Amino acid sequence: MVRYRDILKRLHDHDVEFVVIGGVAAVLHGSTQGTFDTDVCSPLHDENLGRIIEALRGLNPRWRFRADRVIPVDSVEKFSGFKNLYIRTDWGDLDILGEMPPVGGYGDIQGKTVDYDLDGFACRVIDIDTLLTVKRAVGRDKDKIAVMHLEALKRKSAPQSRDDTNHTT
Amino acid sequence: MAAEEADKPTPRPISAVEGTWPLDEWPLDVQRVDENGIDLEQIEYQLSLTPAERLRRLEEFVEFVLTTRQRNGVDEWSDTATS
Repeated sequence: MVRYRDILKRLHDHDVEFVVIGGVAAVLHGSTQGTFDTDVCSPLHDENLGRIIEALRGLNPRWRFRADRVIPVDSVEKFSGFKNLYIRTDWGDLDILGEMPPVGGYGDIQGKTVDYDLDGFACRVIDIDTLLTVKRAVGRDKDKIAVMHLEALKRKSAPQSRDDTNHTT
Repeated sequence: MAAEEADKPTPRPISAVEGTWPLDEWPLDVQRVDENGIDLEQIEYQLSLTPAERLRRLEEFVEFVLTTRQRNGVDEWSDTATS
């Protein structure tokens, strides 16, 4: 069962410091491009790691690239020095990134977020302009497509001054 | 340009046989896209939803794909390793 909203609520309810980034952020802004995982940017210091571990308890967390290995939820020391956490849970994949080039870490995206109500709780999401900066910098083919979707969204959200519509059969 | 010419509706691409559909009901069979081919109708629909509803749509989409893969013997998460 894929429950991305509930994963985010878990993080929220456990006071995890995080901002939604990546494809889910794009979808929350209105993109029609699908994605299979939830990406968040989050500081990976001990206190926050402890909250993340508690939030994942009961969700059968495994390492995404070694799904046979269960993530130890007994100690934050085992995560010391990790820059990112790629996690598979029973509710779907969760990628926790400590840094998001070229924008930087969690502290650097403060003021570059919007709050979205996800049916009962407010979730901080990277804003479209910053997400565009990241996608353009990463520059993989799928990021270029994401940029096209986000630019279309920006134009749709902005006041229309001209007909920017093409037609195709 | 004569005034009457300027008042004429811009010709639109429509594959329906002329006279079968009034032009003011256009477009019925023509996808509205931007210069990159992004479907503007879908974008508009997404924007009409709340963020929570957009996320629910995504969950339903992923659930459908994963279930279909599972039923057809395809590794559910085969293409997510580098996402």
